[in-house]
Amino acid sequence: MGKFDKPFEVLGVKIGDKEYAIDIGVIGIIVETSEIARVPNSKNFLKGVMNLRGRIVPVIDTKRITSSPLKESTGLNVVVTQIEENEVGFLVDGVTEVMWVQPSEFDSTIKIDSSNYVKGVIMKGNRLISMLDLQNFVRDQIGS
Amino acid sequence: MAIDMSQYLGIFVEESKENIQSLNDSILELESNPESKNAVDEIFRLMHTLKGTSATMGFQRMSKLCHTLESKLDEVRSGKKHVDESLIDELLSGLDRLNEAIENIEKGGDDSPIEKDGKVIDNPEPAKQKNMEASIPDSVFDVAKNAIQNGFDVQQIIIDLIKDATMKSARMYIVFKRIEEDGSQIIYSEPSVEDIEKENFDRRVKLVVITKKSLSEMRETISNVSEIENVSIEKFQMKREEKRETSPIKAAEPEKSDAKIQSENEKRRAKLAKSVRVDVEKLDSLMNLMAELVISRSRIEETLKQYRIKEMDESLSQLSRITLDLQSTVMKIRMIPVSFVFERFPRTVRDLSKSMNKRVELVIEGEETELDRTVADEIGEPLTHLIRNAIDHGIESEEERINLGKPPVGTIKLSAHQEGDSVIIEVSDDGRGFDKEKILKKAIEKGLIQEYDAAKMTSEEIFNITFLPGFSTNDVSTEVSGRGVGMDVVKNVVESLNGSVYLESVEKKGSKVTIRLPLTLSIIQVLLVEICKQIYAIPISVIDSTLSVKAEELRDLEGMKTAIVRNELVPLIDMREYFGGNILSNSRAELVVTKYKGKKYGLIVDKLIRQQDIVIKALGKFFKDTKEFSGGAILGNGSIALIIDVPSLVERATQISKTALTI
Repeated sequence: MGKFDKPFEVLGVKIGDKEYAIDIGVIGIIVETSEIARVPNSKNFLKGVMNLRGRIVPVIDTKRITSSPLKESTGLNVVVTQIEENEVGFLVDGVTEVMWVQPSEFDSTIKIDSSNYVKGVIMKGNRLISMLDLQNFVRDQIGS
Repeated sequence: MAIDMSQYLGIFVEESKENIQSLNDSILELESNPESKNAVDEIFRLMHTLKGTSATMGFQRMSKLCHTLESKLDEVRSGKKHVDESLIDELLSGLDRLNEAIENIEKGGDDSPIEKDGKVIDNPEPAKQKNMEASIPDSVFDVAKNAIQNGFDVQQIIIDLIKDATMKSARMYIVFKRIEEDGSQIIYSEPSVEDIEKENFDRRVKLVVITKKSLSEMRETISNVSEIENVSIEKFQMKREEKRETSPIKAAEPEKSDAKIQSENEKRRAKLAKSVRVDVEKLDSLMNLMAELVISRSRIEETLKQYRIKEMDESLSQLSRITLDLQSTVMKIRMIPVSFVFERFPRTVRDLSKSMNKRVELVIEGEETELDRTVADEIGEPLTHLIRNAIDHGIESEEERINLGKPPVGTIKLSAHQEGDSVIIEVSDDGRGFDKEKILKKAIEKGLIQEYDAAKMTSEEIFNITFLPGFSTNDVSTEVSGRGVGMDVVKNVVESLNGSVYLESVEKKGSKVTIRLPLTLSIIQVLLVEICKQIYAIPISVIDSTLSVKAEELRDLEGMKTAIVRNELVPLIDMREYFGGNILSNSRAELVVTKYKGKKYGLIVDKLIRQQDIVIKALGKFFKDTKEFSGGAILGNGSIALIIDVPSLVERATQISKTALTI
């Protein structure tokens, strides 16, 4: 598993009551947004668009791309990523911490979330954190 | 004191491109009208300019090639040669090589592409004296100038040895020695001294000499040497130096430039002074700043409204007026005539029709129509696709056309005109048109549609299939429009510019592709409305009127709500329903009546807010399937209003109500 033979850094986020991790390399900023404009008749995982310093940025509801129960989000934290020229926001329920993951702590063969965009599990003590594959998600959605 | 030419390189490239384009036009004109003396003169003049400028910039290969082409034309001018196809081909292919050279130079290279294909670029005539100066380095001129100022004479000597001269380098050695014996000084020789020593030259040697001798004394000195056939001596022309100082672009022009060319140059120079070339990037940043200004203005307006300061009203309205003027000026700066895109097509059509043995005439209309620079830059490629398709698939062969009773020469019409806030570009041909059966067959074969759908498809729907990726109706893919070149490319580009494309076709009569593009990409006037507690923007350009009707005046007619607006039955789209929100039971309904394809459609909204200028921002690739919105805008308070694309909305909404009916 060449890619994960070195320690890597992730951001832990809360989606529903579970913890997920996002590769720190793709994250631009994390903002708390007051307003997300809904875009009618768009794909269901699209929460809408937000104004980020004069730019219009799409916001993805992470509950819809993971297998999380579809409750209204409690927080308004948006993790804004930069993936292949695209600025994409991901709405999460909260942000936990930035952490280093040792190769021994990561297992790409186990999935506790059946979503296509989860690529494995990080084990930190008794915490089980699903590693999100947002690059793949963006590529799938924009490519199609 | 070599002048740094690099600062002129940009101007040189731009100007050369213009010249090449004009040459292209003139050559094509000459082809259609071989007797035209004007065309020949024009080509000659342009070629001459290009030769001069490229020599000045040190691009000898370009200059030489120009010279070769120029002398071909000279033969035509003097009646030695007639304009025929081979000459035109030769001129055009030469032009292509010049173009390649320029493109390479633009990328930071030199004019070497000219030599790549190994064609002759050498001057077929023996080099005349006056052409010598093109290759003389600047430093020689500097030295010569100094010498003249110090009372010396500078002479240009051309020595021809007799044919089969023996010991050529020794002969030249003697000549050199004789010249220098009397205190004269050789400051330049062509070929170089090393080449002469190695006998690396033919018969002719050119020298530039500083001397106190007269021309005849010099002649005497040299002609004593045996085996010299001919010596010509004249005063060295300092012309180049003088000219270069007044105009770096026009230098190196041989003295031949007659009065006419001179006056043309004057005109050009005058024109240059009045216009300024601006980097497109700068225009873009100006446009962005303009957009920010518009947003800030709205924000100030909104804030001040809360305080109702009377004293502010006047200055505020003045600010509005100024920004509006500024905005339209910036917009105009960015506009360029569509001829910028169209001018390449006469050549495309000529080359393609020739390679396919078809006779095609291209008619261009409305090339003065203006559109945004960004749009113009993007639209060239799709138009090329369409024109290729028209020649390749549309226009029939000559025999076929005669058999069908059509004129033997096919016609492709390319036209542009403005319609409200849009520019319409149409590409039509009088060829065989699209074959619906063939399209359906192919679409079913490729699994793009189902067989049972095919029967009930309208013509428009069938033609729309051709815009799907990977669709090509021609059985045999040709070199010109192979498999990869599809209508989907056209659709993609046009849609990325917020435009739309329609295909109409009548079998055996021809087809027409209509492209509708926004006039500008960035700022539009909209009506802000509220639908389900969210603000949306409807472009003013598509709005017919707004009115408020009583709820009981709305009628259900064949599954669609309708209302009577000024004695006209207008179908309604309930936006609250369409956008999936709750419909508040109101006693009145607010209608925004829009027009689309000559028909009216009413949109029911919750509230009309106000009219405003907004800056269009793209929603991004995630929303590419949500055609109802052409973009978003950031309002003064920082919130986002989605811009409703009325044509797509109407298309989709009426589609839905239709299917709702059939079910």
